[in-house]
Amino acid sequence: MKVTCLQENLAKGLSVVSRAVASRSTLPITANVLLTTDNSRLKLAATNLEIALSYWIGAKIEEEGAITVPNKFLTPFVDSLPNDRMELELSPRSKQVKIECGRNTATIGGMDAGDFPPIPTVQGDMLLYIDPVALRKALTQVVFAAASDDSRPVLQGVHLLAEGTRLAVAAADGFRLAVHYLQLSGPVDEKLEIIVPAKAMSELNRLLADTDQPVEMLVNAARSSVLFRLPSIEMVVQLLQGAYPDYNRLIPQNYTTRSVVPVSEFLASIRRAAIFSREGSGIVRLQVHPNEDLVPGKLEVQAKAEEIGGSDDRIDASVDGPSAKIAFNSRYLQDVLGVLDGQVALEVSSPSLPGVLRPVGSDNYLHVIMPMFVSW
Amino acid sequence: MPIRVLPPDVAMRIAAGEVVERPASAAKELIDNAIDAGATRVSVYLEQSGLGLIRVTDDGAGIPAAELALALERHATSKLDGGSGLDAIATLGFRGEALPSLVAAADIDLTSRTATAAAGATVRARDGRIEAVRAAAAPLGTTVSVRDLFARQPARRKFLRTPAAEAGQVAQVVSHYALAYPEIAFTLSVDGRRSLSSPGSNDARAAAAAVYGAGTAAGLLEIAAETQACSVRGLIAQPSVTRASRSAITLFINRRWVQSRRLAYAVESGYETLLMTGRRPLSIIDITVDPAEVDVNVHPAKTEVRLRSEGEVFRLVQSAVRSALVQLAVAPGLRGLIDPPPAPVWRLPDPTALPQPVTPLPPVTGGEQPPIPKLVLPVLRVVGQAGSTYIITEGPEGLYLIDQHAAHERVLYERIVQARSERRAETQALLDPIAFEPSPAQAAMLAEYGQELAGLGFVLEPFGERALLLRAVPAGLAGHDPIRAVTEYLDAVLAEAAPVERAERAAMTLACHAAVRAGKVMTGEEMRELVRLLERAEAPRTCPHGRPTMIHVSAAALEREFGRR
Repeated sequence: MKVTCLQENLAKGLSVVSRAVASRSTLPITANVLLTTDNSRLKLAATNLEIALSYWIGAKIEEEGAITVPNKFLTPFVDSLPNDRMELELSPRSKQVKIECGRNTATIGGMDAGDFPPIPTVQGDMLLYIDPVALRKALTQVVFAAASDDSRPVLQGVHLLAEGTRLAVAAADGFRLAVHYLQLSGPVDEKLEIIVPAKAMSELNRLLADTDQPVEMLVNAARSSVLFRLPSIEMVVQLLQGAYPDYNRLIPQNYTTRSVVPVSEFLASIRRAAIFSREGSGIVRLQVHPNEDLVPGKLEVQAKAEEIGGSDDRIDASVDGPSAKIAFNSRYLQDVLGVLDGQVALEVSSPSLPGVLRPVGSDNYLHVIMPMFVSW
Repeated sequence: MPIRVLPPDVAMRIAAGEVVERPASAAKELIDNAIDAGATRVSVYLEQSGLGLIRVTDDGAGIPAAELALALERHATSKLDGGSGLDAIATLGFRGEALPSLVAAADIDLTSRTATAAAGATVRARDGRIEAVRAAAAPLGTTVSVRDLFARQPARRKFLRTPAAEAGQVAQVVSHYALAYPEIAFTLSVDGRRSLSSPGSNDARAAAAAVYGAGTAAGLLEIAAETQACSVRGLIAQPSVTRASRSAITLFINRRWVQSRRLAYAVESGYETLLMTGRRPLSIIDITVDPAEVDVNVHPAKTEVRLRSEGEVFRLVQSAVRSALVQLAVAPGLRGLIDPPPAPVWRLPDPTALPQPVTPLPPVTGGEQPPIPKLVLPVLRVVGQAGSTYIITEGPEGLYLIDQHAAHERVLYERIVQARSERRAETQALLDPIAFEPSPAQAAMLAEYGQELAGLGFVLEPFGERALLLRAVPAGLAGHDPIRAVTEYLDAVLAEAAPVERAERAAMTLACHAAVRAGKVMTGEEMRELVRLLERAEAPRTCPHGRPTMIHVSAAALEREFGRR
């Protein structure tokens, strides 16, 4: 293999595929990056057996070939080079890759490309095109709600359900649920339901920042893996298997009191309350005081720290319904308010029933949080 | 006082205590008899945890009317004819001690009909006296009712555990029989409520489902192995299903339930490296050996046995368990479980990255501080983390190494105990309630100690006949497996008698589950927060189990070691 390319392109490509390099694996070769000549391009690939990332850069191919190189040496070395033309040359017998860039040279010992775990190919069965900006927003508003513990593996994933022209993106742990509805450009042929590991979705979210082209999403017939294709990037993810809970029945259908407040003020209050509530179990008490004639309603945010003190904030709110109270874990409120902007509506029924947060002015997102039972 | 031979009835009462020491042992003796009579259905009915009534009904061969009274006599048995039979015991009972012991300890009604008899017969024993046999209408088989157990031995009654614990023990006994005899349909009713019902379909998995729930039973692996002298068959759980105690390692020798530390260890060693320390597997294993090779006549309760070829049996059990698990390892999806956990990696930090050390401690500014309650620890400054397990801190007296798990356990434990004492459990509702099925023994505990669980913050609701719905969990437990915490709590109270210890144990179990694990990399902020919480703890120097949370290396010791002094 003998290839010439630009340092800038190679460094960019390595920064992308590095995310899929296995850090601690029983299979040492997965700590390597696979370099392959592919027509007139150089393909970089890495996999940790759950996520596989491939990236193509433009290159002048003088001699075809393939090799895997330890990422630990390759990426920092390439990063340190000046932005210039660089040449990679493999000596097949010793499996040494010689990298030259200006007056800087390095050799790195590699391992046979044939031993690298095959990067799975996804044969088209279900193909969707998704707007990257909308998808990015959906993932930002949903992924954080996925479970981090492994007591129920499916909850460590993000649930995607495409039906008609709508794609529902949802995640839940035992205590909260986030659902974002995306509009697809055209209807899907048949209902599609998959669970993608939340970690992979975070990676995808990161990659989406750099593109404005529609993202291709391709799911294989066995529904065991999904391919996301972005310009010069392909990400293949092993799907989680299992039955995702039917979350629609967990969404309250009605409420008694609805309060609308600015997200920024609500979030600031919760952050203040958290200073005290984190001393205990993170309990924040919310009380809704209805509008009175000309006086606007209030959303009161209280927190206590045993034997120390507490905080009490009041935010102007436009309230619809009678007074109400409910307690939540401050962390869950901070998480969801952190991904919203503008105005948010809080819908509650009773201190023991779930509360729902919805952005005002758009009906494509909702967030359900289970209350904490406290004495009032 | 001159030496005298005890009057027979006194001697009898003393001896009876060896066989019948609690309701569970009475039930066991009666079930043994039912099985020896060839029953296909055995039902056990309890009132007041067996102290009011234990009734065992079977559809076995029955006892002829003429022999009925004799059955209650001491050393009367139909299962041995001469001394020679003792060497090869194939029946469960054989001493002829069970019924007479019960006669001494309780009031007995024995009703029976054989297949050839036109009508049944009944005999009563009241206050230790056997009354005349009378004719009675009876279905085929035998019914024994034991009323007011130990009413005449108040001392024995005093040593019984709580009613729920005794009922739990009976449930345990019936569960063992249901597992050992899948061809017999066992039912157990406690105060009119059905708590166990095995189908009697001669399917070991179906019997396991009746005891451990259908979900657990479906995942069990079959094991089988034999040598010339013995064979091993059974069902074992995958390494992902574990318990905190050995109570779910169920062993039978020739289908007789036995307690054997050594054989239980054989099962555990088959799981070597697959289970976390302190976790025990679930297994149901029957060992078949030549009856001549076993001595069951060691103890009246017959739960201890001697095996002539124990070493061989040990190896057979161990290899049978191991080979079933190894085959499993090939299946995908379990890789993470089979891999041994990575050893903690010690990595020395780059010395330049360390904070510049030992400038005098940050001065406490701000004049009068509000009184901090019970400050028993000096103010500690976090220096770093070692081995992802220990927090290195510095105080005025030198270095303190803090075990992050033990420290967090202490903090959570005190929080749980305080919340409980103030009756303000901090409870977090679950988005999707979780259904789970406790074992009959656990269900009995739950009936009694449900309130205690509620006091800790668990909200449980009945769901169907045996299952429960968990609707809310203690706030500190969010993000952990709550079902495991509940079942572990129930197992713990099953083993623990005194209420104080039980409450302690429950708080400890919860704290241990919610505490940060050893091996977790913590950020500086997290470590400072934990150390700050520990400083405020009542007893910061030990974890609730009594292990130290910290080791102090004094400044003087450091100077001495470095030869500065």
